[in-house]
Amino acid sequence: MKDGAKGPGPDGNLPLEPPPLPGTPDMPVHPGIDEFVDKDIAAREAPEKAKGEYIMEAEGLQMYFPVTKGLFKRKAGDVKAVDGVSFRIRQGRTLGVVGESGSGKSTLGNCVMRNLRPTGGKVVFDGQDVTRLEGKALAAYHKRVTMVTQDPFASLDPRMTVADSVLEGVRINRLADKAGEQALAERMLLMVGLNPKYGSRYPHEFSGGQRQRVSIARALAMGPSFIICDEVVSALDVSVQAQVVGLLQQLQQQLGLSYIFIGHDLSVVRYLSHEVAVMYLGKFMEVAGSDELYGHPLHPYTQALVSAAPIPKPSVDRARPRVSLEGEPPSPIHPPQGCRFCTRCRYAEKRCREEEPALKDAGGGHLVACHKVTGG
Amino acid sequence: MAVQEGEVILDVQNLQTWFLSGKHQETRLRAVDGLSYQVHKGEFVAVVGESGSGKSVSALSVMGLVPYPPGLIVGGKVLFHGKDLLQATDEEMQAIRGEKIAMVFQEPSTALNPVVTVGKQIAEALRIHNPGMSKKEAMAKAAGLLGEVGIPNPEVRARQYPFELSGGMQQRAMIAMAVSCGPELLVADEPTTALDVTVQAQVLDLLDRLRKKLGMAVVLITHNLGVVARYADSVKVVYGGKAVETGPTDAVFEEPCHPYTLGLLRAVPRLDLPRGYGLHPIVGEPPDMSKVPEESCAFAARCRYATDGCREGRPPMEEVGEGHYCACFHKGETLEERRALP
Ligand SMILES: Nc1ncnc2c1ncn2[C@@H]1O[C@H](COP(=O)(O)OP(=O)(O)OP(=O)(O)O)[C@@H](O)[C@H]1O
Ligand SMILES: Nc1ncnc2c1ncn2[C@@H]1O[C@H](COP(=O)(O)OP(=O)(O)OP(=O)(O)O)[C@@H](O)[C@H]1O
Ligand code: SF4
Ligand SMILES: [Mg+2]
Ligand SMILES: [Mg+2]
Repeated sequence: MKDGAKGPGPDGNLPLEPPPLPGTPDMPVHPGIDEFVDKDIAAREAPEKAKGEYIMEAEGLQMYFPVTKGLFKRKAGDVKAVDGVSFRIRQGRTLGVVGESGSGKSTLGNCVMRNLRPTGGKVVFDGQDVTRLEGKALAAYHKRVTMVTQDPFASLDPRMTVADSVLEGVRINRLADKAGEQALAERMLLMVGLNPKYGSRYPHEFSGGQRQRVSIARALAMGPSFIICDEVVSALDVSVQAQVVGLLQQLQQQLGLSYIFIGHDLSVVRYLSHEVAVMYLGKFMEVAGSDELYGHPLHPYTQALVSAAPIPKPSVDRARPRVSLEGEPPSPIHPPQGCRFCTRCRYAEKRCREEEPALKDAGGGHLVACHKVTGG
Repeated sequence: MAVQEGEVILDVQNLQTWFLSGKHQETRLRAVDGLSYQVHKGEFVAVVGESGSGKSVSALSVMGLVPYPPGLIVGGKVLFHGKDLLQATDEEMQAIRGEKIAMVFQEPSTALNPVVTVGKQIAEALRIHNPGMSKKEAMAKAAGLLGEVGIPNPEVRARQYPFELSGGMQQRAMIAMAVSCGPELLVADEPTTALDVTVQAQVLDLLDRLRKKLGMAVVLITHNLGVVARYADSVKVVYGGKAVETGPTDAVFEEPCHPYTLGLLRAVPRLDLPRGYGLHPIVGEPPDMSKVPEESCAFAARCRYATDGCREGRPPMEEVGEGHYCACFHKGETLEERRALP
């Protein structure tokens, strides 16, 4: 870790910087660990090895939903669901997004997907600002950027065969002829590890994991280069979750896809992501390389998130520091003044309640928005 | 955690619950297929296993809530303080449910009535079991309970409808309702699966605190092995409708002897290890429970250690450590594999 990133140890409290986790340079793990770690992941880890260009860049992205009141629908304020978010994603890489329920993760995904029209900021995809696209230009964008969501029940029409679901977007955009369609559907199903003959079946004939594969096939059919995954494995059991994450990873390696991967299981998000952003009340509080973020969480909110996630090995879990996070996030209609996290932060002081901290580099590209960490 | 010593309050013996279908009820889906386990007073027990392994159906069987038809408990005993609940009358069961044994479901929205305020729902539950209690008294107690489960401004919240509460608050209201009559046993079926990590931690900390305060035992059904590691005294690993490995959490997680248990543990990534560790899916699909052969290990088709012996006979449940039991012919190989892993 870079020196600049060391947080000041607050008085009497738990150290702002928790003890190093095994697996980081400060603390080597179990001797034979290498054997059990996927080398491909490790190889793609080092930033200098990332040759890809930035395929997506967002700047100051903002999505306010108006709140109306009374009989005459007087505007009473805004839900600031996404409130000035910036990020860059290279081709072939994944940005993970984690945060509590209501922090704006899905809204962010929907803005990038352009299911919503952001109220501010821009999203540049492959050199073009997509925030104002309409009609044909938007349809063309939707061929290159697609989305998979949590609930395969909701995204698949129960009355449509699986092949029809997979081909829906392709047909709307007339991307293939009749003969080509059949072959395409089969190829997509094969690609996600399903029997191509299953195309004539209906969603209810599949298990949850299989249905999630179908929705991935559907997202792939348009031939996208970018997929937004919103809680795609949250509802699946551990083994099926491992299958689907493995599939997404394999597709990334084979097709050079880029992902935004939204989730609340930190260990899964971290597994798939090269970089992870921690979102709170519509803003990014911390952004860093995946191992760095979980090995050295700097923001008090990230520390609480990491510590709230239990580790499935009792001896290890018991030895970890617990930073508990009380209460609920405040309303996004009236986010707290100063730092948005100050109402729940154990380190909050006067300055935190007055002045909003900017997202700053704490060293080595590890970005964090906290007065305590980046100081003046 | 040490082996449990307290009194056994729930003793499930060889429970079998089937779902019958077809013209002549000839298709038998053996959802729970000879499940046995015990719960001690005040113990925190976790039940884990893949989707469809019979976790929810076994909980419903204990509560006497299996839908009939098509569900039918065809065998076994559910002894609660020695009394077989499977033989209890509907009235007896109704009295036991809520008062002695309570249940929390995964989806609070399915269990809370959307058109009745949260406080009123809890108050009604209280009055069913305490007929002498006045409405006013019950409402005051309901608000007290909401406060106790960590809901801020409980008096205000008690007068709100479920949709006005966040998911985590609804789940807490459910728990408040479930514990309102001071049950001895709380069965919670995936109560936190829909919640994010911080709220999940809050809800589970709450359950744990209540169990210590009330001396209540908790049976937690979950997919989340991390949660089990952190909260449970003991764990039951269920496959194909029966327990394949049970014991103190530390023993089962640190020294698993069943290939299926190890498979589950290897399927989850670990935050404490370098990225890239874990996420090995268990090969194959969970068994079709209407076709599991009766005379073989149910896991044999997916097991890397399976031999002819496993396909020809059912491995018996054997003690491998203090209070730690496992049903597998190749326990040694599994344990060896586990020891080589971090
Ligand atoms: N169409 C809408 N109109 C008004 N408010 C909205 C709308 N969509 C979302 N919101 C609000 O925006 C905020 C962010 O919601 P969002 O769904 O993006 O959160 P999330 O991080 O995805 O949460 P979860 O983890 O529960 O999926 C919430 O306060 C939500 O109530
Ligand atoms: N009402 C029902 N009618 C017919 N079959 C049922 C019914 N309820 C459950 N089953 C079957 O019983 C088996 C066990 O189901 P159960 O719901 O107990 O699984 P589970 O372990 O709780 O899974 P999950 O983790 O997905 O909740 C499954 O094969 C399921 O399809
Ligand atoms: S008994 Fe055999 S098939 Fe069953 S889990 Fe053990 S080794 Fe595998
Ligand atoms: Mg969401
Ligand atoms: Mg279930």
